[in-house]
Amino acid sequence: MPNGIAAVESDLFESLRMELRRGCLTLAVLSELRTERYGYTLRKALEAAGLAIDEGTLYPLLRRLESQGLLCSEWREENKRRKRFYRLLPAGERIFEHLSGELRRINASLNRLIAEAS
Amino acid sequence: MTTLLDRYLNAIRASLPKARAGDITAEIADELQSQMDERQGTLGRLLTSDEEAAIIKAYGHPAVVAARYGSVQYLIGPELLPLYWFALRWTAVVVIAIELIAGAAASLATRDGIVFFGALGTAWRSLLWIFAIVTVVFAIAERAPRRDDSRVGPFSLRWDPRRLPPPGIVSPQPRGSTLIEFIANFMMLLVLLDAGGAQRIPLDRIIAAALAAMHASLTPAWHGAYIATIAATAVLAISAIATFVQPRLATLHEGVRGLTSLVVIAGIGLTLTAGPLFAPAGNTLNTPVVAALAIAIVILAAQALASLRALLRIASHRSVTLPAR
Repeated sequence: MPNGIAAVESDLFESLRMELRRGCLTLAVLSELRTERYGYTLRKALEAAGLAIDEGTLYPLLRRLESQGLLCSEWREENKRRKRFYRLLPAGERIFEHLSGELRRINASLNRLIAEAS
Repeated sequence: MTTLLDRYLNAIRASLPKARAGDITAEIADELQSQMDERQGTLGRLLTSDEEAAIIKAYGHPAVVAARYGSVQYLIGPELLPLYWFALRWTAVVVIAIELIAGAAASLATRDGIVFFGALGTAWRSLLWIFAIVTVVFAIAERAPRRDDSRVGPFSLRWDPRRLPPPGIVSPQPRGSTLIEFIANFMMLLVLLDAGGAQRIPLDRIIAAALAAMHASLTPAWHGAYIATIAATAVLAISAIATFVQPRLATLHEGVRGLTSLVVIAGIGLTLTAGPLFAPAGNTLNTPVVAALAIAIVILAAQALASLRALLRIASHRSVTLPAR
């Protein structure tokens, strides 16, 4: 494949990959926040789970989820430093359950489609 | 002592809405501090200033970081937003400056001050066009495919956290105020110089008429204050527009404010010591106007002192915190 076309496809792939990841990251954040965490440990936990998210994406996302009433946060001191701890609210837990069910259904359908195609 | 992290947070804070700035920067501080702690733990020693700067730089340019906390639905995203504002500002300043200069030249050539005000109207229309064209160009660029969505913004590659100003140095005044300051001083200058040249902005006639009603006229003693005010207004206009284009000049602009206040004080001083301000001598206007000029001196001295204090504060920050490069 000529280099020019490969570069265009690579750009397109990146753009589609980011689009695919975006929704999954929200679900991953909701999942991890069933246990109370602060930003840094949340990011590390996601990274360890293979879903690395950069800080510039994570913190604005946390704020958005909080403003949507899915999370709550609280400033507390830990190891002589003030940290902002996040955890899911009941509405966030319900949304998480619905979304993870939806993801399982989508995954099952996609797996069937991909298996048929290959 | 101000650290690199303080400078960085301060630069981010400057671009955030005041209500949320403290909360957001506190969280960013915690994240960066955690990253630094982890790195220190790995290395088993304190980080060097270069290592701290690398962690901060990896977090992203302050303007880009701040822009990420904006609205989710955007026409121009956080990576391009700083460049968008930069392009919009520069294009607007260059085009408007050309139009105003052309308007002033036409006004002088035709000896009609109204021509200049016509140019002001054209400049407003140009501003709208510039806004529309630059926005469309950036909105298209925003939607063009990119290799990834990480820190590839044009501001992200060539900035250095060590060159960020310490807290208190990022211009405390909103960007728009320097533009307003420029326009006000520019207009004032035109009025003082009577740019139309044909008494279309008849400041001297208005003053002369008012004085004539009181059977008085200005004496040459006013030359000192008049020339000093013209010089100060011109310098302030240039300094304000330069600061609007390049906010890093905020410190210099503060110094210019202080100096121009001193120049006008000197001019008023010359006027007050040059003899009676109004003819005929013994006119009743002399006493209240001398009192008004004395009050003006006090106000200008306060402005000069405020500028000096701001400059001293900046100097003390710099002497303590600027890293050796």
